[in-house]
Amino acid sequence: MYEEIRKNKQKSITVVALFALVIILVASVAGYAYVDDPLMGGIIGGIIGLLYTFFSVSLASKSVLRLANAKQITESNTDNVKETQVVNITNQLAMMANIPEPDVYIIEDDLPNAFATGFKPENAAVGVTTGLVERLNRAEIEAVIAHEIAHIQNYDTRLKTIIFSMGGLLVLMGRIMMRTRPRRSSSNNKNSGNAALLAMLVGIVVYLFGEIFSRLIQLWVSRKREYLADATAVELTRNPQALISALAKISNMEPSEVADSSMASMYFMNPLKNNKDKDSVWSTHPTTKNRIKELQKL
Amino acid sequence: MTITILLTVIVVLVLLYVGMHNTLVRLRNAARQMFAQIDVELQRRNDLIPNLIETVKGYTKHEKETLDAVVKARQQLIALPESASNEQKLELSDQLSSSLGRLMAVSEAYPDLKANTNFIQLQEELTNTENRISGVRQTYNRSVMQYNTKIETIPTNFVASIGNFEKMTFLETPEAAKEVPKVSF
Repeated sequence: MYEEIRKNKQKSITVVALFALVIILVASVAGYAYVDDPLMGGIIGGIIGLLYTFFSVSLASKSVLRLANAKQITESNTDNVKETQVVNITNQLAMMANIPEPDVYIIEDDLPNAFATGFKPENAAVGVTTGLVERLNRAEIEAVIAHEIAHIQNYDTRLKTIIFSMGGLLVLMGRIMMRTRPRRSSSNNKNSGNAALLAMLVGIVVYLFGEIFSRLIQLWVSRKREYLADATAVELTRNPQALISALAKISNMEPSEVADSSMASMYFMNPLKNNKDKDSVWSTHPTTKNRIKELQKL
Repeated sequence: MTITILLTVIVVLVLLYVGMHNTLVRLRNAARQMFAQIDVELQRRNDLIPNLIETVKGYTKHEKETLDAVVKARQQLIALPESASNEQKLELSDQLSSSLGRLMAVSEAYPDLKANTNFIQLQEELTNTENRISGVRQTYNRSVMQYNTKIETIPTNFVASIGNFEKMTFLETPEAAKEVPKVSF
């Protein structure tokens, strides 16, 4: 279990490093083409990339909650005992996971589901749908929220936002390089022509494949992380059966009509389609069948 | 030259010692803090009970024995002196848990009571508190295990024996606690 978390941490460092490397490499090409200085390009690209990622990541959590149309609930602002239950469960699990109590949000959606967001445990939030509150029993709600607490505890929410931002940056760089004509101070015309062509080609490749590449990595990471979060959730609740029955219940329901597609990979289960049969590189989550199979091994 | 090397070695050793000592202190404090949290949760449950008893009394006629058992177990727990050991405290707490469990089981037979909003809220608070108590016990045991492992393993075991760090005991999960139903509705 801890071995799994350790391996996962290594993988996420690898993924982020890979992204950073590609961004710096592309920036060096741009530097070479525009100012005849690959090193300068790489350094400037690295710094801008860092700043860009930092800012978009720090804004991510708020915009996600706005996108989902979420309303915050606390012990004092609700009379609904089921909502109090969700706050109680979240606080109890946070205590056990040794993280600060996350804010709890509720979303109008009949499909039972939940998500977690936040760059670090200190400013994390858990969102649950009204369907989750109304259709699942206490043990199942506990299992689903434990899965989300696990995402926070394992820093999955952070990794996902970072990858998302870096992917966006890569695409943006490709677009700029495709359209900008190099202006080089170098007197060697032939050389500068080659450099311009190189920059444009790299720009096209980055623009076309950057999106697909970052999306695939994002999905791959997301699928890997779901298993780990399931396992951590069971470690917290000691009740794999409740998680299995929650998964089974949700996968037998109609997909959500209100969930935003860009948030699909953040949820406990993909709200837009219940992929029961086969894993593909385009799935946000492992299939329910595989998740249940892994849980039965515990 | 030799003196410089010697001094460097001494400084490094002292720094290592300080680091390991602080780790042990940190782990011990974490475990102690978790234990203090158990007290907080027990208190939270003690505060819930009078309200619960009042509500249940209004609806039930033949459950005096069950109610009395809860009241008695709570009073025993409150009457414990400050000096009481952890084991004593938790033994009484487990008794209270199981008598509360029985009370919840018999209340199933009273539909009016089960429909009472006040009772539903109290039931949720009680379930939450029982879960928190068992959760905090688990977490306490986990932090004790971390601390004890540090005390037993090289190189921290040397620091532990010099600094008089003693192993802490685990909390057993007794059969009575396992009986407590996880109320779901």
